[in-house]
This record gives sequence, C-alpha cells and structure tokens, in this order.
Amino acid sequence: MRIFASGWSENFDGPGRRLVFYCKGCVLDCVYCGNPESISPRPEILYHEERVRAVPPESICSKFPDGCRGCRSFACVKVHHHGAFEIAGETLGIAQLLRRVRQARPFLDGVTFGGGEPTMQADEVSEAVRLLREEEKIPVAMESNAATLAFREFPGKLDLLICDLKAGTREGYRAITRRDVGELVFENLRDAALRQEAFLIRIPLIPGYNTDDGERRAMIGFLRSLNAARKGGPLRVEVLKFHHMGDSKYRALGRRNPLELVEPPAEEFVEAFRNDLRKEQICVL
Amino acid sequence: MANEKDLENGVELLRADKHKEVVVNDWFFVQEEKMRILQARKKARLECDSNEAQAQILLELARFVPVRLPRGSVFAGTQNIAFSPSYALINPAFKVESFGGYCDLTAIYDDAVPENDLTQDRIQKLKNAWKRDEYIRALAGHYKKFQRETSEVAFFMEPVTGHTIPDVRPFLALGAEGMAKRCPDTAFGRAMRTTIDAVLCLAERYRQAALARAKEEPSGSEERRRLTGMAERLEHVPRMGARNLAEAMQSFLLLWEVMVLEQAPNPYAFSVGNIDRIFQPYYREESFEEAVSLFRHVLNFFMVGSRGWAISQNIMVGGRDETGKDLTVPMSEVVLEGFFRSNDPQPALSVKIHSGTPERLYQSIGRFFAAPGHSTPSLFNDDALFPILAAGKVAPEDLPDYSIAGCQEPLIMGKSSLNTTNSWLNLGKILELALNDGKSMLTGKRIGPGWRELGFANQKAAYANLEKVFFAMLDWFLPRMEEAANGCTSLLGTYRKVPFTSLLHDGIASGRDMRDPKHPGARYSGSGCLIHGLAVVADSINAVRAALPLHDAGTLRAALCDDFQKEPALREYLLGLPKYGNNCAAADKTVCRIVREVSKRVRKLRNPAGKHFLADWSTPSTHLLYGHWVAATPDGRKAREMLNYGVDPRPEGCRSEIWTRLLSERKLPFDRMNGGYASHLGIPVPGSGLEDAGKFMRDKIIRPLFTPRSDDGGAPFYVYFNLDSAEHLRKILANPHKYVPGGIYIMRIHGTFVNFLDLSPAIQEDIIRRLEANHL
Repeated sequence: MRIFASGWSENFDGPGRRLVFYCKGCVLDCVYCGNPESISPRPEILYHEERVRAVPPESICSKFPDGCRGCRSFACVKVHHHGAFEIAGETLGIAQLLRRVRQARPFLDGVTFGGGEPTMQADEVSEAVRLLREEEKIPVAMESNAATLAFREFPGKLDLLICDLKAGTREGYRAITRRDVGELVFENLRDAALRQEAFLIRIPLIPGYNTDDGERRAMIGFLRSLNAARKGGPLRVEVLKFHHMGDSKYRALGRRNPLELVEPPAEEFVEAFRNDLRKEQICVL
Repeated sequence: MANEKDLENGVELLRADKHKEVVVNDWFFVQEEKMRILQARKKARLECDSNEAQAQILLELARFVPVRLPRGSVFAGTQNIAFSPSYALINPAFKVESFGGYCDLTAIYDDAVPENDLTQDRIQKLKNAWKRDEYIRALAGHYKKFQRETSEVAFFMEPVTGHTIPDVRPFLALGAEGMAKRCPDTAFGRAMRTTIDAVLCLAERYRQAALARAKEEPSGSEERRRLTGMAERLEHVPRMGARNLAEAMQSFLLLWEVMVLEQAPNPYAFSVGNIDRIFQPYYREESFEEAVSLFRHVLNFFMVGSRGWAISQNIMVGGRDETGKDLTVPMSEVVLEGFFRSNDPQPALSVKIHSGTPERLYQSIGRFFAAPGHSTPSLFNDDALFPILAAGKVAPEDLPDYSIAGCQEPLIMGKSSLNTTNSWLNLGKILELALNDGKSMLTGKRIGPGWRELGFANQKAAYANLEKVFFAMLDWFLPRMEEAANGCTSLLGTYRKVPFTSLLHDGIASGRDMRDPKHPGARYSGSGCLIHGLAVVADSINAVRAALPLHDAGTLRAALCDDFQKEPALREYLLGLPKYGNNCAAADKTVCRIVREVSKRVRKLRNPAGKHFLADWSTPSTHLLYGHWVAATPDGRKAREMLNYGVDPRPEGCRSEIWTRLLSERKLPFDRMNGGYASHLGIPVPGSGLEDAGKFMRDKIIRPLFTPRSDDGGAPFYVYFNLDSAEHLRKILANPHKYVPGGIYIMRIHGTFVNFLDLSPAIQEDIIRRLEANHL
C-alpha cells in the first residue's frame, strides 16, 4: 500500500482517537486540495525553504532545485537528513501495517484510511480492512471521494464511511476536480447510502465553485433524495470550510495553490447552509 | 471535639498563616540546641554516636523544640523544626550554573534569615561549630577524595536522610505504651524506648501549651474549643492507641514530628504511603465533611513555610492487594477531597491504579485533571509494579504495602531502607569522556581513562566503536561511584543512627538500626542510583554511527569540543538524524539496549551490606543541573543544555505527536528499572467537565498507557502530568497578578508539587518546553 503519511487524529477521521493511513494517489485533481502531495501515486520530495538553517540545500545536492522533481534517490533525506526536505511516499506491506496498528493498539479507538484516494488501491485497502476488522477487532473507517468504480467494494464492509460531496452537478464536479466524475460520484453515493450503515457526507464549501445558489440547491436536492432512500440510520452531513492549511505544501512541491488568493467562506454563510440542510431533516454535525 | 465549622475555619486560618510564612528559622534553633547538647555530652565524656546516645539527644531535643500552636490549630505538631528554606529549585533566584551539589552539609546555614536576636554572627558561629562535627568533617574528606569525578558530575553521591516510608500503623493502634512494651530489653530496644519517651514528652508539652492557650481565649470561642479538644486528645494519644480519626491523626503527626526531628536538618522525601488505609480503621463515627476537614489539618502539617520547603512528601491512595482485590476505602475519597480543597504545594499526591480500579476513583481523580493550576496526582500501575517488586524478592504479603518515597521510588512501607538517592550517574558526562579520550570537553581536565587505557588504539578506533568505548568508560567509573556512594552510606550509618525511625521500620522485629551499614535493620535494603541522560547517549551513539561515513572522527570531535560554533551545518545534520521518541525502530532499539546494559551493570554494584544497587531512571530536575556539566553531544545538543528528562526523549528530538512518543517509550524494558523511572506528560486540560476529565484520563491516557505489553519486558508503571499549555504558562509568567491572583499555581516537577511561580526560571522554562513538545 502506498501512503504519503500516517498520524493521529482525535474525533475527526472517525470516532475517538484514530490512527490514520493517508493513501498516496488520487483520481481527482481538486482545485482546493489541502494535501497536494497526496495526488501523485509516486513518492515526491517536499522542500520547505523556511526550514533551511545552516546547510544550504545546494551544498548537499548538485541537482537542487531543478532536479528535485524527478529525483528518486532521496539522498537529501536518507543520507543527509536535511531538515528542509521531506519524502511523501512510503510503501507499506499489509503485514507491516498490521504490526504498526498492533503496536499502537492501546492508544487507538480505530483505524482510518484516508488520502489521496484509498479506493485507488482497493485490493490492498480491502484486505487491510478485512484483517483489521475480523482478526484484530479494530473498527475501521474510510474517507473517500467516491470517484472510482472500486469504491463499490467498500460500503457495508466498514464501521464508518466518510465521503465528500464536492458539488451538486456534473459541471460543478468538473470545475472542482478537473475530472468528469460527477455522475459516478452521485451513483456511488446513492449506492453507499443504501448499503453503508454508518455513513457521513462531508461538503467542503469552496467560494466560487460550489457556493452559488445553483450548486447549493443541487447539493441539497441530492442529499434530500439520498436521505429519503437511506436505510440504516439517518444520513449525517458535515459542512467544512475551504482553508489554506495546504498552502505551504504547495510551495514545498514547487507549485502554487490554485486558490491561494481565495478567502474562506464567512462563518455566517456556512451556518446558513447548514440550516438549509437541517430544514431537509438532514442530520448536520 | 470541635464542630465541622470550627475545623474548617481553623484550617483556613492556618493556611492563610502558612502562606505568609516567609521566614523559617525554627530549624536553626533546633540545630543550635543539638550542637549544645553534643558539646555538653563531649565535655562530660559521653559518646554521641550510638543508638542510645542518639535516642538521648532526641529526647533532649523534644524537651527543647519550640512548641507553637498557631491560631486555628486542631492538631499539635509541626515540621518547621526540621526544614530550612534551602531546596534550590523552588527558589526563583536559583541559577543552574551556580549549583554545587549538596555535598556541603553546612551550606544550609546560609539560608537562615537574621531577625531579632538571630544575628549573622550567631549563624556563622553555629555553622563553624558544625563544620567541626566529626561526621561532617569525615563526609567533607570523603567528597574531597572523589572531587575529580564529581567536579563535573560524572557521578555524584550523597548520604540519604529521609526518603523512607515509616509504618505508623502499629503505633497508632497500640500507642506509646504498647510499643514500649514490645521493645526488646537490649541496648537498641532501650534506645527505641527512649525515643518513645521523646514522643510522649513532646505530646505533654503540646498539651500543656494547648491548655494554657485555651485559658487565654474567650469562653465559648472557636479557638478555645479547638484548643480544649486538642488537649483532651493529647491526654489519650499518643500514649494509648487511637480511638477515632482525630486521635489517630494527632498521634500520627507527633510521630512524624519526632521522626523529622531525629533526622533534621532537611530529611527530604519522608513519605506516608497509603494514608487512606492507615486512617481507615479509625474513620467510623465522623461525618464525611468532618473527616475531610480533619484531613486538611493533616495536610497543612506537611507544609513548611509558604513554599513548602519540606519537598517530595508523597501520599498515596488506592491500589490492590496481592490477589488483585481493590483496596480503595471510604477514607480514599476523604483524602482526595481534602487534597482537592487545599491545593497546596506540599505534600504530593499519588494514586495507585490497577485493572480493577473502581469507576468512582477515576471520577474522583478526574476533577484534578480538569482544573489548570491544580495539583494532579501522579499515577502508579500496581499491575506492572507488583511483578517487578516480586522479582526483587519482595514477599507477596508485602506487595500491597509498596509506597512511593519522594517522587517515584517504590519501597515497602516500614520495611525498606533503600537509600534511594545515594548515587547519581551522569551518562551524558561518561559519553563526553568516551568521545574525548577521558578528558572534559568543557575544561580540558582529565577525569577518566584515555582510549588506550580502555583498549582502543586511537580516535578513529574509539569513534568507530563508540558504544563499546562508552561502556568501557562506564565500567571504569562504576566501581568508583560504588565506593563513593558506599562511603556516604557508611558514614551516615555510623554517625547518624536513627532509633526512632527504625522503630517505625520493623525495628522491634529486627532489633537493629535501619541504617546499620553492614546489617541494616529494615527487611529490604539496597542503594539507589539515579541514571541521567538516556536519550542523549542513545541518540548520540546512533548519530556517530550514521555520521562517520560522511564526517571523520576528527571533525566530529572538534565540532563537539567547539560546541558546533564552527560547524553549524554538522550540528544541523546531527539534529536531523533519527531520534528516540519518534517510534523509529533503530533509534528505540539503542535506547532499550542502553537501559538493559546500564541497569545490569548498576545492579552488580553492592552496598556495604552486600545488597544490590537499584537502577532508577529518573532525573529529578537534575537533567538540567547535570546537563550544565556536559559538553555538546553528537545528537546535536549544545554544551550545557539540559539532558533528557527521565526516560523521555529530549523535546528537541521528538518530532512526533505524543502517542507516537509513547509508542517509543512503551518499548523500554521497564522490568529492569527496579529503582523506578520518570516520565512526564504535558497535555491540555481534557474534557468539558469534571466527570469528562476522569473518563478521558481513564480511557484515553491511563488505560492505554498502563496496558501490559505482549512481551515480558514489563509495562509502564509511573507517569505524572502537567495539564496546561505552554502559551498559558508564558502568559502567567508575563503577568502573574492577572492570571494567578491567588499567587499559587500548582505544577509538578518530577514527583513533587510546586508553586509554578516559586520556581527558578530554568525550571519554569523546562516545564514549558516539555509542554510545547508534547502537545496533543
């Protein structure tokens, strides 16, 4: 399994304290992505200029900076241990993953696979989920964009499924994700709503992309239909605000955040949208 | 008996008085009197060092000590007679670089405050007189012998006073008369009986004082009721067995006063053990509120001066027996409630946890964790500690009586004389010497053997085999440390016998002084060795191994000697190498190996009685003091910076979330840490309410932390917390009047409570840095 990081979270990526494996590689290329290092399936170097102190990067590597993008030796990290560089990308066998989880067992309430997009590695993730749940008796959650065919393997086999709803229309999806995946996502979410008991939909509000009346109405309409069709507990929705926490990572990858100059939506606006959802008898967190 | 209101008002009067008590000089007058007694005995050609002589001296002191009954007192007794305002770390004026160890036993006279007829001349005169004391001269000579090793603290040693846990239960039950009858008719038995007379003498003096004071108070006044009640109790106890909670507490306090008097000055870390179980048999008729108020009076006794100069007095509640049965009792709740209400810097509270700890106890301790600036109990894991103690040959029936002396050192109540802080080993300095051919990198002085003497041809060979050089260097120092520590033990045992404390440590059964160097009277004996610099050494050994292919030994050594001034890039490289505390297998493996190897070597050392030294991986703020004497190290640490605390990583080396740090720490072989260890968690205040906090601590911190490992290396058995944020503490320091209007903000340093505002700036900064590193 390819991951770009693993870490802990508390009551965000599932209930309680979670050990989260962030899968590397994503089918989408969202304009607002907060983890740009998650998109490519290949290992990448992040160069944090602000962390340079006494050792200029060019003094440890003649290929810096232009050669960094294609570099596969990662000597800056593996040999020179330079604090300004970071590798995003690690291959983790299932046995290795299980060992890590077992070691952390006393401290965790569950394991979550996030990303990137975990369903891009459906075979490995699916096997890890099965082993964790059946043999280790550990609750497992997955965070997915629901934009793959392989996604359908998972509903009903998880203790919690968290999916994004990024837009209410096919066009909205195309604008945000730069992929034509809207219909697939809607279909997958409908399917998941029927088969997955603990199911949470997250809506990232991105000014200029899904905050206009049309997109909001479409999202509400879609969720209404999902809620009506839902079996196995109420549909839960969480509305999140676009943020700039990924900006430094864009810079570290030598890119610019496409939405660098976009302000997060106002809290009143977000709350109004939440209220609109509540009017539809949707459980808004 | 005074009513609840009288009790509660009384304790608040006492606490207010205590918080204003800046000048603490009674200890001085006691030492002055003791010197007078000793000189008189010498003049009369009476010997001074035998148990009988010490008992006689104690009795004479009991006749002399100031008997004060501050307004509000319900119980007679004080510790002011035994403690000077000397403990460096709770002195805001203290500077790490000025620390010279505690090897000059007369240095405390510099802490006496001239007032009234206590002039500077009188202070100096007494200091000079004590300098001529045989024991103090012998000790000074002994320190001189090891000056080379101690001047830059490769190791340190001390004679250990205090640091034990008396078993007062037989005395409370039988009373002085019952105890005296049990003393054998031997010289030692007679000495113990004399010390019992000292208790009775003191009790009678207090009774007379209470009666006299009561007569001065208006009839029907609260104060008069309190004093009359005190006098009535003192008619019965400690002469007879206690009949109720108040009598038991009164008896307890007088025993304690005589015990600290016997070992004065400054017998730090006398600890109580499971006070809930001690008082439970007497907690019958009293209401909960009455019991809490009475207990708060007991708590006040442990405070010396406004800063709590009698440090590291540990009080415990909870726990299990050897079969796993929970031993929490109603008195446990009284103790917790009393602590919660008083929230003073002393004594320190610890709670024993085990798999069957009742929900109620978790709820009860939860409130401590939900209140910033409030004392928080340190926690001990019975399920993990019992096997470690049993492996140390503690009898099954004694296991439930394990208690903590001082901060975290486990002893058996009334049966252990473990000499816990006898030796202090600075692995950081040993490493420095291993890296520099036996010479100090700070001063150039030769302190240890050179590489050739250790079997390594040259610098290149030494750096290529650094771990072996380190252990060879350690093997050279350990026998010297053993000799140095044992010298202190022997001198103390020879010149400062303790018949009364021995009486409370199985002395009747053993018939010997608990400090007898060759044949200690306590059932369990040993000598402690506090081991410093674990993470620094392990990370440094790994760093040199990683660095050598890129940087030659000469460059590394020159950079360390120069404190990286000319090699900042090399330092940055070293800092970037994998470190312990980040769940990195290779780094953690070295730490575990160091623990095993060093513990094994320390255990091979023997005290004068032929008993083992105990490996204690704790650093009671000495990680700052000893760090000051360690040059730059290959983990990237700068010269004179603090070492790591206990078994925790250095804050600078820990780049991970706290749970990842704990995953590293859980790999440690805790079963080898038979003298104890220290670990600190700095976390934000949990939950939104008192019950939430208890549940959070139980489910998210305590149980996960104390869960046994699947292998046989033991499990963590001790942790303490500071629940706060670095940001908040910095605000407090910047504006104490705004953020702490009451002037008391309790935090923990090592195993003891302190008022954060009273700490030296270096310690304040240490707490803050560790909070920053350990954020959730």
